[in-house]
Amino acid sequence: MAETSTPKPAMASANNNPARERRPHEIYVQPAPIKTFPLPSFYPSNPLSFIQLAYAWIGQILSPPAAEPSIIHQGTWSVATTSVHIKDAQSMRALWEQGFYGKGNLSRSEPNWLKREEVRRGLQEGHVSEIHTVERREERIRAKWERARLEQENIRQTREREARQAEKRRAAGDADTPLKAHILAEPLAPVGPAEILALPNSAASLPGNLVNGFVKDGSSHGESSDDYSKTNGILDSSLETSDDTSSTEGPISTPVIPGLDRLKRRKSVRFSPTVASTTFDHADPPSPGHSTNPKQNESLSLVPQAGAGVLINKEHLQLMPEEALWLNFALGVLVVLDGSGTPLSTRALLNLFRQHSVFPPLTGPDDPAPLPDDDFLLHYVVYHHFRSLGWVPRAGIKFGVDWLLYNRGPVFDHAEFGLLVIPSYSDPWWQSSGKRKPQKTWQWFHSILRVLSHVMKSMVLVYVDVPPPHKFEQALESGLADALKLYKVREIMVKRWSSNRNR
Amino acid sequence: MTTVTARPPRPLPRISKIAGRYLVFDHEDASVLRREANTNGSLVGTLPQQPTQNMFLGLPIELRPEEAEALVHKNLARVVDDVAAHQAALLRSPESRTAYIQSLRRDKAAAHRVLAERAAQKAAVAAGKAGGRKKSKPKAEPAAASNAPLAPSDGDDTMFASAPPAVSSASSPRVADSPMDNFGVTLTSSRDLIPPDVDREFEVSDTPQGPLARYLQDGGYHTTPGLRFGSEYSVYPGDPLRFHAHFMANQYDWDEEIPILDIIEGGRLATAVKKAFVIAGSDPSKGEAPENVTAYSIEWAGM
Repeated sequence: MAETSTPKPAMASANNNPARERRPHEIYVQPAPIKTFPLPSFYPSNPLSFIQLAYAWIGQILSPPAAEPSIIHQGTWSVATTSVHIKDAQSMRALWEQGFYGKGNLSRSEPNWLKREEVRRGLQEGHVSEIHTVERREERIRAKWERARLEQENIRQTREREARQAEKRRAAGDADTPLKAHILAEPLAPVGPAEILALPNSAASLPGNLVNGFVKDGSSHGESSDDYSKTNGILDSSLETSDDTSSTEGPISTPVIPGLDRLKRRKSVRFSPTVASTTFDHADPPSPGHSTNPKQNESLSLVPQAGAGVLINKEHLQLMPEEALWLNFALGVLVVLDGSGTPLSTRALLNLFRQHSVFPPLTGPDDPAPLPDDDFLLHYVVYHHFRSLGWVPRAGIKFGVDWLLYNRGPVFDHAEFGLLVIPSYSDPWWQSSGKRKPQKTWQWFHSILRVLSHVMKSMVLVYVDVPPPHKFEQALESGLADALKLYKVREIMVKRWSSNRNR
Repeated sequence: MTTVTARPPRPLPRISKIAGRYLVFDHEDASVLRREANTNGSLVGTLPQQPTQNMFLGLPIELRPEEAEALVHKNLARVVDDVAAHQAALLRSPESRTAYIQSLRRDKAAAHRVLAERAAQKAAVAAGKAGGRKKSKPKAEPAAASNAPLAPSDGDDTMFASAPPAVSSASSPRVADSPMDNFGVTLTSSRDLIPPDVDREFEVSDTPQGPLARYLQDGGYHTTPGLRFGSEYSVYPGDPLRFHAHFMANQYDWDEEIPILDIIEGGRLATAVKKAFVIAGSDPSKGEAPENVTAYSIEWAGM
């Protein structure tokens, strides 16, 4: 059915939105920036469906829909970023919502800087993924602190209980206790993190005695003991409380080490009892204590109120060359202008992207013409292949791979696969010309596999059979489509198999 | 690097090059390398009768070629072509062979003595527990056992000779019941076979060098193979038994182009396992490794 109102949702992120936030499947109805008008299917068992079919058919004949693509977006080639910039707000939304093309230059992927800014200033209620991520991270940090606190609390309680039990046993004075008390009085092996941290770092920092990392005993109060209880809060407080409960200075939890007074620990991690702030806002200065000018901060925080009405969208959408060529060549919904504002043909665009696939770009008159195995073509072939099959490939640089494959799109699910593009020179021409396949090490392989399995993705090696240059040039004369037909794509999925875990 | 000790100076640890692998067989050499040359190697030895494929392996330790080269470069060890040295030593003269057999006999005698002492101790303990009735008899045995091997028969020069009959039966009939009768010496070491001059003759000098291995060795770092972290070396600030690795290091040629994806992967993986990713290369125009090595560490910032 014709979706007559589709261009409208593209601009629906503005403030005139109804109160209810639209669901993802409503926003991202169209999988591609072109519309299709399929006729309803005819079921012989249901004669009424023929009427429906005839109605739709006649309707399309009488008032034919506009020729697709009805909207052609405009982009500008930017040499500095080797990407195509889309500056029109409607086009940005449309390209993002209809197939997840490009990336906002001020955002993680979806161009939502304006919305984020509005939410941050309290002008709009809404869900922005970047803000959500920051909140989630802060929450995780808080949870970690809470967990550490609980662990310390547990340790403290266990110690108290043990001290009380030992006290009871000693009070009972039965025959077995002396041995146990003796064992307890021995300096224990340093097992906990606090004890290990309290160990001297090297023989040089030891004044003579080997010290087991135990802090001061309550019975030998000196000036230095205050020092210790200040710097090493957790351990000391637990010892003090155990002393309080046992109310005697027994040898249970307070091992005395001779020469400890003289011990000066050079380096140790101090747990400050007062933690000013464990979480930070993005607007915070890098180090709060060293903020250069407090007045500057105030003025910064005042900006939102002052300039609330005139928030200008400073963001543009960046299309990768592969995405731009796909939109221009395969779908025909994009026109790319060069720096002077003249539109580029598909061939010119292809040449431009191929020249800029290496650094420095091969734009000079004496530079060699790129071969059919240049980076841009290889990546484009893979992109084209998977886009045609209905996947959503997006740049995978953050995981160290060439492409990430999404099933429907980044807002719906996580990427399932990480693609690595590997040229394969199976044609005899390449072998005779002495071309060798890329030499990669096992370390390279392992690191990719580990990174990908860490983020729950599968690794796919995509081998691209590269045609020899003369055939490619010949086919390119008759069109890019013919040239692309010469490439073959083979996928091999790699999974780490461990005999212990895959039983 | 080397610590001053009261002991007489040991010869340099000997690394045997066998079939392209660099192995250290002597446990003392291995401990010296570990303690004083921050080289731990990886244990690769297992028993042919009971091969294991887990990680509980024993001597020898295997060093990577560039590790061995770094040790030789710092004059902390020497690499010997073991096969050639053995052949030369065996073929040179019949005396060397007989000397080796004598040394094996000495080893065997020493082992006998130790075993006899241990058996005597056990017997003494057992006798003490039984009530001290037969105190005199067990004491007589170790003396007999320890005296006997000192006079081996000269005519027997097979390497795997069973215990000479003179050892047990001649002195006392009771010793024949002891376990040392079935005690054969396995050839554990051919150290005494190769005289020092032959050993020196077959020292290897063309070990492939790795600038980064030299650099890390020079800096006092321990390294282990870093394959499971996707790098060439896992770098430890001290003994791997004491520390976690702090770095994952990769070596590149000076003019080699490093793909940005490799740096991202390495940095990402290293940070995920709480390490830093190190890339290093040596500038050939600035003299020799390790002085000309430049290394950078990379961490994933997650801004």
